[in-house]
Amino acid sequence: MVDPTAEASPQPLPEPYEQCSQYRHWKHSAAELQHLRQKVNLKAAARVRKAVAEQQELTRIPAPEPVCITWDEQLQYCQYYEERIRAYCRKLQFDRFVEATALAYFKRFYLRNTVMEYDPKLYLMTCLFIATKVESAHISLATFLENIHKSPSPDMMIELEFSLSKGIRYEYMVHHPFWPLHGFLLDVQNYISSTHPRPAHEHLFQKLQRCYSRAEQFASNATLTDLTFTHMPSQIGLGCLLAAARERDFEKELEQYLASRFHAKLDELVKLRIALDAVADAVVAQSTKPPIAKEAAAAVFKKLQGCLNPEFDPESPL
Amino acid sequence: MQPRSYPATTAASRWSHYIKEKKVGEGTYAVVYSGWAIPTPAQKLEHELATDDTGERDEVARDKKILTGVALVCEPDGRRKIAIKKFKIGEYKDGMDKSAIREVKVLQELKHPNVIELIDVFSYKTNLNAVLEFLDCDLEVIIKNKNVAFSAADIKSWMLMTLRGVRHCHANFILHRDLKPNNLLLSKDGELKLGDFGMARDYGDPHRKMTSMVVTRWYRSPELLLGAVRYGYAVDMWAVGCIFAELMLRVPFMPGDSDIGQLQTIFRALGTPTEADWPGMKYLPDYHAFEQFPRNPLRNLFTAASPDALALMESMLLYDPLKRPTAHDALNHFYFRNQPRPTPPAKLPRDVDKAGSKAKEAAGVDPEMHARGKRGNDEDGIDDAHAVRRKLF
Repeated sequence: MVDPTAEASPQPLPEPYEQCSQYRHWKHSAAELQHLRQKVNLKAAARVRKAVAEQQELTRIPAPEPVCITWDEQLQYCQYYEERIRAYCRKLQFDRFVEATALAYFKRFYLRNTVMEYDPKLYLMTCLFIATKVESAHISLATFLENIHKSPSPDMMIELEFSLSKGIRYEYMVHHPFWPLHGFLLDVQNYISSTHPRPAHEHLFQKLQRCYSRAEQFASNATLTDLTFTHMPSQIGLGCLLAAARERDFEKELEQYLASRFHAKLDELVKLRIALDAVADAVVAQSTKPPIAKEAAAAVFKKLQGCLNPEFDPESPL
Repeated sequence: MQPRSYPATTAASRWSHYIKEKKVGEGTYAVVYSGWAIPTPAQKLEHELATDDTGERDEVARDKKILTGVALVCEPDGRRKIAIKKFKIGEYKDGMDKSAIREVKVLQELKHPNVIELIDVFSYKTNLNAVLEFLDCDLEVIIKNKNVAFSAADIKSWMLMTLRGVRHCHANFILHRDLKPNNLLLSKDGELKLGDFGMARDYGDPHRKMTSMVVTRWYRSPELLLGAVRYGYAVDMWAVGCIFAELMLRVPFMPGDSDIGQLQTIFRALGTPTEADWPGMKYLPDYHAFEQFPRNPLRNLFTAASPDALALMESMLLYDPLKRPTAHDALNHFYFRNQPRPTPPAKLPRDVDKAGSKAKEAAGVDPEMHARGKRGNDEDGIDDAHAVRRKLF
């Protein structure tokens, strides 16, 4: 008698992507993200009210009950500073990897922390500075600070580095959609050369190239969205290619490619289509979305002055 | 002195805190302490996870999945022996040390039975600390212990585990860049694990230059010695080839006495390469006319090696990096399928009577430290690497 369970295969090995910290600790659905942001905000607001009350007891200076900012105000406020990160990257001529990594750190940090306790103006610089180290584009701290408007002192910067690192769980590796996108470009090229007659190649390659350039812009925009949390880099890369194909009259060819590439696994193709459509919609929406107005950010800033946690203020008696 | 205790970084960690016991080693870039990881009481952990609605449960489940197959050795009371690596501040003026960040970055992603396990990371004041599994022996110690004999099966077993670890790194687009017997750590049950990822980095982007000032000199590949700034997995494979040879010879195969001397040592051992051996070598930055050495068959030196072992070793020591096998190719080599079967890790030779560690200690300052030179700086690009080199010469 053969025991069927005796041959039970050992647990399947995890997929490569399942091994990275980005998947293990920073993957959330859109619903989870919203829940988490609300929760972090409510907890922070409670801490602020408690600290303000305690401070009042100590100093005997009456203070108004703080009106805390909401989770979506924080999100807007952070998005405003994400634009600033991009601006600094252009100014300091950092490449897209430094930019995307800094943005990912910023998003991860403020997913679990509040602007009422940690000032995004300081943390955006810290994200950038650590990203230059991680992405092998390091510049000296002195040079970096010279180029930053209202820069903190070097000593403070070091403290910020540790604080940020803790907030991102010391997980510095971030995977971006750029490499997968490039991989798909090569794969689609292969597909074209193996399935189309030679005279058609030149024309199709040109179309693909135009499509790819547009997709690169989309991929760069994707780093500003929550796709970083919700989708895998390869899904984002391919989704960007799909969005670009729709714009650049290449959709038919890309559909054929997808069908031929995944025809053996139909249910997976269906799932993939859903993910790709979501990505394509999100990147197109992001590229038409106006940047957060300075006034809107200023309004949050003003409100923020009334609800900063005094425990995080070095001048507070607490 | 009261041993210091540090809390774990995440609340739902299976470890509640870490205790630093005593200093066990000090290198140029870090101090290593031994210590203990104290488990979180099961009830508390359950409560923490049951009441959590921030996705911790999913995270713990995902973490668990990747650690299947990695043995977890604990004391009967649940404590786990650990090493705490405290990174020295380095160039403090630039904040957190970037090679410390790089090591942590790489180890956070690499979870494999043949790669040292990073258990947690924490900071204390302005020090970064990595909590690692405790491995108190390494292959260099065993090689130096003249009381133990290696069988062909033992060597095969160590090569197998080394290559599995290296394959895992390369599959994640990470180069180790400092493979040598001293960095191949051994656990109590004989498992070999790659350690010291201070030189490691991600690779594969052709637009980014890398420094050639990497890998301890005796294990440094010819393309690095000729100043290549674009290279790949083959630099690690060369080092594995050198380690393979060292396991058979029981002394370093190509111990050059200086950076220039290293090329000479290699040429003397393997013959000066011709244009046919290595097309394109003339275009490397530091290429110059070499002294000509004849090619001697390796068979003359490795008299006891089996033909398959020699064939694999020779392929890893090919001059042309593109002709060297990948770790994956090497693992599929017939050497690993032929008899003898590799020795099971638990039955591999140990450092009997600590003779190996004593021999290593007696040698005084680690001679390899000298061979290491200054750590390269990828960012500084070629110009700076050259400046460093001039200083060294």
